[in-house]
Amino acid sequence: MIYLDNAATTFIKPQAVTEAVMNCIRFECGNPGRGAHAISLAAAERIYACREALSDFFGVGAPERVIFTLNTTHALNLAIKGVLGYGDHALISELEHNAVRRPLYALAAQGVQFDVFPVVGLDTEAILRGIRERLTPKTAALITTHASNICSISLPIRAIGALCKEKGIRLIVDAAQSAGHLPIDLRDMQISALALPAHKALFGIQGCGALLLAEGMDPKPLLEGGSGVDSAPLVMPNEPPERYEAGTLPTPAIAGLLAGLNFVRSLGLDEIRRRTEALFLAARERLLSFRDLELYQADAVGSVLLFNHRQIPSTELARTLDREGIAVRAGLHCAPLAHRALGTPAGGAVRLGFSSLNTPEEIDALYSVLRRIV
Amino acid sequence: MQIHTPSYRHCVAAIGGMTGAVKARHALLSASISSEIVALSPQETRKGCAYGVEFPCESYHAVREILRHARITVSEYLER
Repeated sequence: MIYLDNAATTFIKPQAVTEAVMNCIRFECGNPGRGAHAISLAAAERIYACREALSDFFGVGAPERVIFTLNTTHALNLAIKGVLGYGDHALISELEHNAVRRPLYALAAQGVQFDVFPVVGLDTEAILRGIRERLTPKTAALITTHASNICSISLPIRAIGALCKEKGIRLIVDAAQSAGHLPIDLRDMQISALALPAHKALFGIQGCGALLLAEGMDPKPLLEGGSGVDSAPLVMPNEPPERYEAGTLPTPAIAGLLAGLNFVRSLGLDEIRRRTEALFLAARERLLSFRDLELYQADAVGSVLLFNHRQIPSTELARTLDREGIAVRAGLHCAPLAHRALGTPAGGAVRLGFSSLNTPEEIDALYSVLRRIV
Repeated sequence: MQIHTPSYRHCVAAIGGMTGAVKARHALLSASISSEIVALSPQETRKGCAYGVEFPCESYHAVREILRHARITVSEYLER
C-alpha cells in the first residue's frame, strides 16, 4: 500500500514511536496523577517530559500550559467554547475545517455571531484588510487554520497575531496541518491558543492532541470530572493543566507523541519541508501532464495537493486508486467551507497528503497507476 | 511554619497537581536537591488530596527559594 493520506493521519510512523508506545504499555503506563507509586510516577514523568518538549518546540514557555486533549477537534472546542459567550463576535477564515465551523455554529444558537474573512488568492496585506473590515466592537476572537487541510495554502499567522494583539482579540490557531511541518512559536507569533494533533506530522498515534495556552489565556473548562487533585470541591482545580484535563489521560499516546516530536526535532523542520515539497512538486508535475485532471491552488507548495478528474467523480477515482494499492481521500474532507472557497464541485475532490516518510518512488508509482486508469 | 531541622527530618512542599509536583522535583534536582513526589491526604493539607515533594528539612530555605524562583505555588510546608 502506498499511503498518501497523511493529511488525515500519518500511517507510517518512525520505529521510535512504536517502541515508545509499547514501552509505556509494558513498563510505565500507570495512571498519572492518581497515585504515588512507582508506576504512576513513571507515567507522570513521561507525560511531563512531553509537556516540556511541546512547550519548548512551540515556544509556550511553560509546560503546565500544555493541555492534553483527545485530538485537535477537542482542543479547538475547549478554546472556542471556553472564551466565547453570548453577544461575542468571532472571525474565521474561509478555509476552516468543521472542527472550527461546527463549534461556532453551535455557539450561534447561544448568541455568538461570526463572520468569514477571505484568504484564497490574497496576499498578506489583503488578508489583513479583509480581517479589519470585518472587525466589530464585540469581536472577541479570531480563529484560523495555519495551513489548509485541502491544499497547501498557509496563513500569515505572525501578521494576524500582530493585528489581533493590536485590537485586543484572542487568536486561536488550528495547527492540525502545520504542527510538524511549519515553524510555530506561540509567544513570538502572539497566538493565544494553539490546537494540534499527535497523530499527523508529529508522527504520534491517534487519541491525543494538545491545546497550548499563552499566559493570560484561561478558557473555562469544557469537561468536569476527576483531576487527581483536591477531590473534595465540586469544581475543577484552578491551575492548568489539571483544570482542563478531567479523566484519565491517553498516556501511551502521549509517550508516542514525545517520541514523534523527538523524531521531528532530529530531522529538523527544514529537512521535513524539503522532502515534502519535493514530493509535492514531483506529484504536481505529473498530474499537470494529464489533460483531464484539474488541480486546485497548486501554486501553493507544501504537503497537500488537491485535484479532480473532469469526468470521473472523486470518490470513484479514490476507490480505483485504493484497488491499485494507493490510499488517498476523496470528498469534502470535513471542510465544505474550504472546498467552496477553492471552487471544487459538489462532490469535492481527491486529496494527496505527503509526509517526510513518503518517497519519490511512490510518486512515480502513483503516476504509473493514473496513466493506466485515467 | 516553624521548621526544626535535624538532618533526619523530612519536609514536604504541598503543591497540588502532579504536574506542579513533577516540575518542582525537576527544579530541585537542577539545584542538586534530591526530593520525592508524595501523595498527601486531606488530613495533612489544606489543599485536600494533593501531591507534594518531600525533601530533607535541612534544605528548607533553599527549597523555598528555588520553588519561588521557578514560580511553583506551594500551598504550605509540612514537616514529617
